[in-house]
Amino acid sequence: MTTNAQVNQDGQASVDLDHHGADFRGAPYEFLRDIRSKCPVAHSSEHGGFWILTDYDSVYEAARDDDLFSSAVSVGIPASGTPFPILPIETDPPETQQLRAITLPAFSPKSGKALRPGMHEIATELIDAFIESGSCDLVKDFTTPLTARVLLRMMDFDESTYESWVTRVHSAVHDRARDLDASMEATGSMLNELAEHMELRRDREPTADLYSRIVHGTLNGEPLNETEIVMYGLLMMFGGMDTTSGFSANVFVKIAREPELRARLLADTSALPRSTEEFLRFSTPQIGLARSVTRDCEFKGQKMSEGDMVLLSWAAANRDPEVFENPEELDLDRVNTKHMTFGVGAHRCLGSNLARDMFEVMLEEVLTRIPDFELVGEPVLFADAAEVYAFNSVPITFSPGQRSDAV
Amino acid sequence: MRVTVDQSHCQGHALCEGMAPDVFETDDDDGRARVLVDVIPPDRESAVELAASSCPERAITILA
Repeated sequence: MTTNAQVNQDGQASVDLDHHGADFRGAPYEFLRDIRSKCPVAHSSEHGGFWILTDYDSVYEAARDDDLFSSAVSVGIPASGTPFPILPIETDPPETQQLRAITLPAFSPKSGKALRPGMHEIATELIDAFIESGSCDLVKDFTTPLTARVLLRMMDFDESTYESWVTRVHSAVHDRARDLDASMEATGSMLNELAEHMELRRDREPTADLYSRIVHGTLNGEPLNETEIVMYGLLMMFGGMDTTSGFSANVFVKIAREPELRARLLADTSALPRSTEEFLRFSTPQIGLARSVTRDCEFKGQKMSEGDMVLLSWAAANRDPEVFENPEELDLDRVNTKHMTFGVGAHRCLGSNLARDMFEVMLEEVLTRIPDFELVGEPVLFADAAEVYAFNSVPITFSPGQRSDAV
Repeated sequence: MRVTVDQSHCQGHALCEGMAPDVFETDDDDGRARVLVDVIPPDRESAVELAASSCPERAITILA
């Protein structure tokens, strides 16, 4: 692993970094640590050139300064490639707040809690399907279908179609830098389907489900137009079907590899909710999101130009030794839980409460019903770790158990 | 101790509710945080301070 992170005689920091590449995917935290320790704000010439911010302070400051660091161009490097901005993530205040307000009530802690019985129901059904066999793929048979079905249920879409949605979301996100055509085709297909659902709901009375809220949402006093509606719906799919499943998979792999951690979690399941924040810090699924610089400026000693793209690395910030003691260690007793896994500022993750609820339900169900699960071979990461660093396949074996309806 | 939430800054992240659910609650309609009590009980002051310092929008103000 080498990043060639260095500061030249003029004080400009540079780094060799292709965050979409196989090297980065193999050891992202080593790359990020190396960059942070040598020059936390540095420029890479890959993907048309971009800055990467790797220390907590810089990431925090940039994420809270929407005026200088705009989200409106794209939150991906290279750009997300969608024909229109993804809402509300690719907007700036004050539109961001107005757009978020449309769905905010559906993502409150109370709403998440209300969905928990349904999450347990889905978990029970999914585990029942494989518990007698003694083996499964923990991602494909559990974390992915659970999170996707919860989201489709919230959207009031047909839950049984989850596989088709998940496949397209994964292609849109993970194929983007390697196979843009495939990624665009997946995105286009989702937008078409979202448009069909929009037509069906437009003339109906508003209901409390997510998509109805969006279809009947307003911006600056005007109803959202068709493009805005489908681009907002698309973000719900991106947000709901990728990160929470990936994060949970990362945690399950960690547990499988560390007997002491598993023993501790099994000994005191009442402590599980408290462990969530440290798992979030340590197993951050989203490496980072991008902003674009709105004017020539100096930021943390580096000269940035209008239009420069900047990658804010939440994952790197989460392991900044200036903020977290022994940052490379998972410490369930850690007091400081101010991780940036959900980002920070006006764009902080809308679904954070829901994500916590889904993760806690999945952890509880797995530790209760298949507590002795073991990895079979090496779990498989997504091919591209630039945005989401997570396992996409985690084959396991365990002592077969009984279905919940067994008599 | 008393505490207020600036409604123009609150984005409904709900970290405060997670840390002090007896003091903060997100509103069912607009998703933003409300303060449930007038005077913070002394044994809850540290939880409220933690909630205020954790707010991503710095929307919580503690009044002595």
